[in-house]
Order: sequence, then C-alpha cells, then structure tokens
Amino acid sequence: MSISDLTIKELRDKLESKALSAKEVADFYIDRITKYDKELNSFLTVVDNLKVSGKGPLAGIPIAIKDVIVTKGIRSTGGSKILENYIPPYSATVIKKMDKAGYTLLGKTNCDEFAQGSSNENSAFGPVKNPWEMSRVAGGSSGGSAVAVAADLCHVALGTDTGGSIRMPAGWCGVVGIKPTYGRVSRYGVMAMASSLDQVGVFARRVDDTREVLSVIEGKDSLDCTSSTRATGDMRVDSLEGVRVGVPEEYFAEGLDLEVEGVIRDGINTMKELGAEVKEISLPYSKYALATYYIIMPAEVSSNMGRYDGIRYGESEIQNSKFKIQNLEEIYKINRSEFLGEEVKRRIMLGTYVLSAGYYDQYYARAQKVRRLIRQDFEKAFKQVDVIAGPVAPTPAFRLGEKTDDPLQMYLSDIYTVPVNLAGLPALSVPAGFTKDNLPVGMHLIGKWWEDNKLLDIAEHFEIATEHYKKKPTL
Amino acid sequence: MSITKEEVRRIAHLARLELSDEQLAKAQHDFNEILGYVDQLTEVNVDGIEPMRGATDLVNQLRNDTVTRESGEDVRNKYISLAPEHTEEHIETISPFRDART
Repeated sequence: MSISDLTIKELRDKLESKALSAKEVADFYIDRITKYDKELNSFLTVVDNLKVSGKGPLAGIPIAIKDVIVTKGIRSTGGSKILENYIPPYSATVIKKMDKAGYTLLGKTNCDEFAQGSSNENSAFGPVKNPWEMSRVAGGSSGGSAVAVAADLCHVALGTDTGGSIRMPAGWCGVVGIKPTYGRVSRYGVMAMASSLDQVGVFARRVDDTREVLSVIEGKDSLDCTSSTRATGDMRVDSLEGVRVGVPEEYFAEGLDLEVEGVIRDGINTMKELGAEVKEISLPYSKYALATYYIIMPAEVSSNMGRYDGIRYGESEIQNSKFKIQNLEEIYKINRSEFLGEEVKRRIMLGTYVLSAGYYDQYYARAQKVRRLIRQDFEKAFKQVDVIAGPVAPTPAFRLGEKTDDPLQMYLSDIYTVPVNLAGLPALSVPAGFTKDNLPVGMHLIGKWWEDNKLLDIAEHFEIATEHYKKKPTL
Repeated sequence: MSITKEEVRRIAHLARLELSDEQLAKAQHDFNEILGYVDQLTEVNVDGIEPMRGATDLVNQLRNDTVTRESGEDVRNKYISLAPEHTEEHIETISPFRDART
C-alpha cells in the first residue's frame, strides 16, 4: 500500500509508531511532484526545506494550499501576474491554525487568477492539466489543488469555492472536495473574490480526511466578522437507512450530458439500495441562479479588485520609461491593464456596469431579491429532505481551449454549483463513477446550513459502498 | 438591450482599465451576450421580496481597534518595503493631478 492510500488517521498512527517518518512521507510527495508536475502544472511554488517537525493532529501531513491563500514568507501569487513576486508578510488564519496542528506545507497550487474561472485556464502561469487525460481541463478555479490530490502529489489540499471552484475540479478530477457552510471557516488572509460567496474548503482522496482538516481550520475568527461561532453538530449518521435524499428535477433538465446523468442516476440508486429514501423535489428558482450569480459575483469582484493598483504592493510600471506617466489615474490604469488578465478585467467591468448609476436597480438590487428566493427554495426543500443530490457539472471535463473564447459557455459549467454559494449552504463532490472515456464524474451532495458533518457522513457511506477512490489516473 | 462601444469605454474608465480597440470590440460583444443572459431576471416577480445582502444572518460584530505586533518583527518596515516605490518612512506614488517629478 502506498503512502497516498492511507487516510490521515492511518498515516498518523504510522508516524506515531515510527513505522514511517515525516521526512519519508514528505519525500514521497516531493519525488512525485518532481516527476509528474512539469506536465500537470498543479504547483506554482514548491517549498524548499520542508518543515516536517510539527506536533499536533496534522503532524507530518503534507498539504498543498491554493495560491489565493496567503502564506507568510512564501510567494503567494493568486494565479496573477500582478502578484508574481509577492511574498506576504502574514499568514491567513487557516494557515496559522494548520501550523499549530503541525502540518507540513508542501507548496502553493495553481488556480485561475484570483479564483476567477471554471477551467483553470485563466491562470497567468498556464493551465492545469487533468491527470485522467492531459488534453482536458482540470476544472477551476482550484484546479491545482484538485490535481495535486488526484495525482498523489500531496496528501490533502485547501481550495476556495465562490461558485463551484472546489466542487467542480474535484468532480472532474475524481476526488472529494467540500465547500463548508458560509461562515464556518475564516476568510482572513484569503485574497477576496466575492466576499459574500467565498469559502475555504478541502480536497482529499477520502471523505474522512476532509473532516480531519476541517475540524482544524474551522471556527470563529475575530479577524473575519462573517465567521461564526455556530457549531456544525456532532450528530452522526450511522447509515443511509432512512436518510431522505432530494433529487431536484431542475438539476436534470436540458443541457445535462446523458452519460453524466446516467452515472448520477446510478449513484442515487445505490443510495436507495443502501436504504435511503429518494424523493423528487423542485427548486423552481434555481434556473435563475446563474444569472443572479453573474450579477452579484462581478459586483463584488469589481470592488475587491480595486486594491490591485500596484501602489502598496504588487507589480508596477511606475519606473518604466516606456510609459510617460503624468498622474495617479494613469498609473492605476497602466498597472491594472498590464498585469491583470482578461477574465478578471471582464468581471471588473461587468461589476462596474451593474453597480453604476442608472443600472443598479435593474441589475444588482433585483439580483439580491432573486437571491433570497433561491435561498427560500432550499429552506422549503430541507423541510422534506436531509440532503440534495445531483450532478456537479453538466458535462465531464472538456478539452483545453474548447471554451476560452466564449465566456457565457464557460459560465454555464457552473449552473449546478452556484445556487449553493448564493444560499450559503455546505456542499461537496464525491466520486460517483466514470464515463466510457474514463473521465470521472462527481456526485454533488448539498446539506442544510450548519449540517456539514451530517453531509460528510452521508457522503462517506456512499464512498465506502462504491469505492471509486480506489481507481487512480495512470500518469 | 444592447450596450454601445462608448458605454464600454466609459465603464473601462470607471474601472481604471485601458482597452485597445480590439479589446473594446471583444468586451462589447461579451457584454451584450452576458447581459442578454442575465436579463432573464426581469421575468421574476420580486414584489415585496427583501434583498439578501449577504450569506449569513450574522449581525455586525465589533472588536477593539488595537495595534497588534508579531513579536520582535519590524512589521511597519516590512509592509512599506512591499511598495514598488517607497522611502524608508513612506509609500510613494504620483500626484493625482500631475507628476510632481517632472
């Protein structure tokens, strides 16, 4: 059995009994990164002189971190040219917590620029490739973290999810990825994309490993006033017997690939065979979720991206004589135009437009009201069911370059994942099977607010019954 | 509803971005496609619906505004030195009205 096949608990036992050393574990992953990552491009920075001497529940566990999460003294680019050489003077709260728990920081993973993208093709440092088929995308925006786990280049990884950025790459790469309830994990030190939607979460091969890491990083943080003291419950679900699984008709409508639908329907049948009670439900406003998201998200992006002007940190052309810079406005424009990528600029402008005088009520104010209706759909649904099941994405991973020229087509990949962020719910992707071409398909399970642990238990019963985690890509 | 090139130019200026003519044309095309898609929200009856302004029901929380200092570190100097242009004491930039150095 390989080191990467062990769960964190099993690995911890072996480290404690000295059957393995933390250095051996770290070297195992470093060797694989050296061997395979040139092509996969999942890491932007690999840490020199790994710290393997930590003590605590994550002692000696090598973890990769999405590059939008800042790490003191270690380059954090957020996938952007404007932060290409940025060495943060502080660490995010989640990093401080994992440090205390003894983890080994392996490196920083590639992602779409400032987490903005669905395929990881918007990174300023090149796309991440899907280990199941190198000509296909990994999914975004946390593609590097998903691939690093799928290809056994790290034990677990952190990502962020604003509209599906953990669940989608997890689904397309055949690993587990969870986005917790909004407010469960501190966002302090996470480069903000859309603050009312962003949440930090975990990728792992096994459900139990995401539980282990979440229990370390969760909790109230005085530096993030949207983090909550609410507990996520220690209510355990012993089996799927009697668990009520809601299947929304809207998630199986037009646009869903037939093979993906087949795999998901089979997965739902498996849950039924395990004793779950499957119910048809309806989320009538979910068809408006993507439109709502593409107003609210860019509005928040346009405001959050305002900080990238190259004055206080980041790249700047201020000393470049090519530009005859006359005033402050010009340097803002030059730095932002030179160092921000196309998709980020598109979202900044969309957001500026929907917030501008004359359009605010038509777009932003209306979208906030529809957002409430979307949330109310879920409130009603969770009166009847414990969990909602469906596909993570309408298709398997598409080919690199297939959708880069058509932003709207690209956005449609997020159609099943964005309602969850708008409502603030916990949700995850767990491997559900494969297409005929051997591409992974993820089952999307959505839990009720603050019932993250129950959601994880349900996913784990499915995982143990189906054992898809045993199948790995051939590199 | 369709957005004009002039409007895209105005938005780019508000967002402090410069676009080439080619980028401007592409942005105009993309804007019209995306805005055409999000326009479907006009179908929804939102009368009497309270806007949802965030993802939590948490109320504002206050904490003391105190200086924190990581032990033994010159935090101030560290932050100032991140700026592309700075002196020992200050972050430097260009005047909002004209370049003071010319």
